[in-house]
Amino acid sequence: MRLLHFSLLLIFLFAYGLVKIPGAIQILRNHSNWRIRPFWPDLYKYGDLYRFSFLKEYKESSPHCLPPTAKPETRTDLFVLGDSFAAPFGKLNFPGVRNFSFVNWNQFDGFKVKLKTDSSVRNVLIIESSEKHILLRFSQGQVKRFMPLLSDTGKPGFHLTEKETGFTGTLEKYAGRPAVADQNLNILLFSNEAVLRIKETKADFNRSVFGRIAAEVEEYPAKNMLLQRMTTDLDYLYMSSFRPISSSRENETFDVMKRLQAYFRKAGIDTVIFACIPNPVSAIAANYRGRTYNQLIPRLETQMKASKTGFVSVFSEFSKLKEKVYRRGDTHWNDKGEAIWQKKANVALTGCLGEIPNQ
Amino acid sequence: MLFNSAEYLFLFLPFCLLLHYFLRGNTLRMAGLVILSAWFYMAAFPVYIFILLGLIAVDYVAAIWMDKSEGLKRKLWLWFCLLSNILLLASFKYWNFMAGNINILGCNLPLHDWALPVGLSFHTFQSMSYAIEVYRKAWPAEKNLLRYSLYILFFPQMVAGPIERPQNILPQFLHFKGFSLEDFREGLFQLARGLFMKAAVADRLSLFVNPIFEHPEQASSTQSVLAILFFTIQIYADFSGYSNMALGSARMLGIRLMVNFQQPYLASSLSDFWRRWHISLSTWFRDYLYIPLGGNRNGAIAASGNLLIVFLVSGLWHGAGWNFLLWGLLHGLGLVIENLLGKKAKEFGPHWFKLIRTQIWVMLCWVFFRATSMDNALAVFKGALGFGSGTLSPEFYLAEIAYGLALLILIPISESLKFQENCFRKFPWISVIGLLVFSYFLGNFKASSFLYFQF
Repeated sequence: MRLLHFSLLLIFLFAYGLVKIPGAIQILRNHSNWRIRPFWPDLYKYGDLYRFSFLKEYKESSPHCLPPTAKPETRTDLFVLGDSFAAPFGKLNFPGVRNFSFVNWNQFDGFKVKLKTDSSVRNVLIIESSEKHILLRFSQGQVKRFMPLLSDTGKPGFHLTEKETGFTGTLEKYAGRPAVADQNLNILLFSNEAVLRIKETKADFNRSVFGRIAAEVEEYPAKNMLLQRMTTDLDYLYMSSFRPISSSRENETFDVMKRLQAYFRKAGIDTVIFACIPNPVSAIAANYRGRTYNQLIPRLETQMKASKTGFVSVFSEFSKLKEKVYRRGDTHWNDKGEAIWQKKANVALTGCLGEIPNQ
Repeated sequence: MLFNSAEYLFLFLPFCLLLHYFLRGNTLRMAGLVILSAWFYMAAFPVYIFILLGLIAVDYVAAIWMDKSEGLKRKLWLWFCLLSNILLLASFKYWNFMAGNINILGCNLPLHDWALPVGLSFHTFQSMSYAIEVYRKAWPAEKNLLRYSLYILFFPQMVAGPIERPQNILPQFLHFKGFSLEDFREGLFQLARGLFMKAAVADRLSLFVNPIFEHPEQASSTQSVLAILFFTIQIYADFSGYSNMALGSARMLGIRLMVNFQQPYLASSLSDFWRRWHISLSTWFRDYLYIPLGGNRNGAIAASGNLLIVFLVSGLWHGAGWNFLLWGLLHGLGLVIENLLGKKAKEFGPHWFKLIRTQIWVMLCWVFFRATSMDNALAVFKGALGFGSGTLSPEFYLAEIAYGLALLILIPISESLKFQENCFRKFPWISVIGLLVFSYFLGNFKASSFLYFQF
C-alpha cells in the first residue's frame, strides 16, 4: 500500500515537473515515439478559434501548402521576422536561398536576439506581420524592442540566447506562471479526442440553451466560419479592423516601418520587404455588421508603393477569394492562402536572388 | 494559484494530499504543508513570499517577547506587531489612495505601481488576531516557528480566508489526523459545491453583469435591475464558493476551518445579515475593534459612533476607494438606524417582509461595491430608474435570465440543512459527481480570479 502511495506521489511529481519546467513538454514531444505522441497533442491542430470555442462544425485541420520546385542555390541569405503566419515556412519554401533564418516577434520577449549577416552574399529580410498586430508592433514605443543586437560570431542568421532574468525572474519562471501551467495541463489532460468530444458537447449545450459561445469568437453564419472578436469589435484599440485610424497614426506606423528598415539596412541587410497579412474579416467582410473597414493595409501599401519600399501584398487577392483562402475555425490562412503568399514572396525575392552587392 | 484552476484541482491538491498522508510524524507533515503553501502563494507573485516570510518572522519573535513581558512593555510589543502589519497593508494597499486624494489639494506625493500581494488583507488580519490573542493571554505565544508559519501560510485559507483565530487552528496543527474517508468525502463535497458556486453561478452570471456595469449609461432599466440582482447572487456565490473550496481542501487534509457564510440572504435584519456574511471578518471586527472601542456599553450614541467606525474601516478593508467607504458607511448607517428604531421596528411585519426589506438594502449597497467609481455607481442607479439610453445589447438571453432567477430559489434550498441531509448524506458520491458535471457544463472557466482576491 505504501509503495503504491509512493508511486502515485512520484507520478504526480513528474507531472508537476512536466507542467512547470519551461519547455519540458516540448522536449518530450520531440523525443517521443508514435505510441506516446498522442499524449502531447498539438493544441492548434483543428484551428485556434476552434480551440477557443469547441464548436464542432468549425473543426478542421489544414495541411500546409507544398513548397515550390527546387532551384539551384544562389548567393542569397533570407531572414524572416514574422509571426505564426510565416512560422511554418522554411528554406524549402524559398528555393534558391542559401541560408534561411526565422525569428518570431514574440521571441524578443524572452530572448536576446542577435543578427549575423554575411556581407559576401545578398541579405534579404522579410518583415511579416498579421494585420491585428501592426499598430502595436510598428509603434514608436515598441520599435526598439524589435531591433536585434548585431553579432560578429556564428553562422549567418538570427541567434537567440535566453535573457538573464535574475533571481526574481528565475523564481517567476519556475514557481509562478499559473497560466502556463494551466496551458500545459491542457495539453496533457484535456486535448485528446475523447475530451474534445465532451468540450464540443458543452459548447453545443451552451449555444443552444444560453445562446452563448466563447467570448473570443463570433460566428459568421453567412460564410460558415468563426471570426476573432478582437478583430471585429470596435472596443479593441489596436486590433480591430473597424476602429478608425487617423492619418497621423497611419503616418506614425509607416515612419516606424521605415525606421526598422533603416536599422536593418545598417545592420547589413540589403533588401527589406514588408508583408502585411489581412485579418480574415478585413478581406472577407469589409462591411461586417454595418461597420466600415479602416483600410489599414491598403493605406500602408499605398505609402510603401509611393516610397518604393519593397512589400508583398496579398490583400487584393484575398479580398477577391475571401473565405476560400482562410480556415473556418482559425485566424490563419489555409493552404491556398499560404500558397498565394509563398508565390508572391518568391516573386519578390527573385529580384534579389543571385545579386551580390559590391560586385 | 486559483482554486478553480486546473493546476490546483488536478495537480497541486492531489499532490498535497498524497504527500501529507505519506509523510509520517507531525513535524514532517507540518514542514510539507509549509513548503507547499509557500509554493501555492508563489504562483501569483513569487518574490512577495519574502515579504510574507518577513512578516511571519517579525510577528513570531514579537509575540514571544510579548508573552514574556507585562504592563507597558507588553502593550508596546502588541503595538509593534499591529503597526508592522498595518504599515505593510497601508503601504501596498492604501498609499496610492491617500496620496491621490492629498494630491488633489495641490501636493505632489509620489504614487507607486506595486502589485498588491495576493490576500494581504487576510493574512495581516490573521497575524493581528494572533498578536491580540497572545496579548490578552487568551493564547500562548507559539514557540514552534514551523507551526506559526503554517498558521499564516496554510494554503486553503491564506489568500481569501476564513480569517482564523489561533484557538481554532493551532491546536489542529499539534496533532494531524490520519486519513479519514469521512473527512475526505465531506471535503470533496464542499470542494465540489464551491466549484459549482464559483464556475456555474458566479462566473456564469458575470457574463451578464459585467457588460452592464461597464456601460451602465447604455443599459435599459430591466437590464440594470437584473444586473444589480444578479451581482447580488454573483458576489455571494463567488466568495462563499471560495470559502467552501477552502473548507473542503482543508477538510481533506483533516483540518476544520471556521464556517464563513450561513445563508446571509435569508437574514431578516442587517445585524442578522452581518452574523451570516463573511463571519470570520465580522467577528474579527466585533472582537478586535467594536468591543475595544466600547461596543454598546456607553449608550446609544456612542454605540452608533462605534458601529460607523467599524463599518467605515470594513469598507476600507475591502478596497481603497470612495465607493468602498460609502458601501461601509451605508451598512453602518443601516445598522445604526435599525438599532435606534429598536426591537419593535426590527420585528415589524411578517418574515418575508423583513427579509425583502433587508435584502433590498444589501442589494443597493452592492452597487457601490461592484462599481469602479462613484460615477459608475450612480450611472447604474440611473439606468435602473430608466435614464439609460437602452442601446446596450449585451447577450441578453431569456434562458440565462431564467437561470439567474431560478438560482434565487435553488441556492437557499440547496443550502438548507434538511436538503443536505437528504441529498448529500444519503448519496454522497452521486452528489459530488453531479455537482462536478453541472459545474463543468454550466460553468464559465474563463473568468478572472475570485472577487475577494483583490482584498
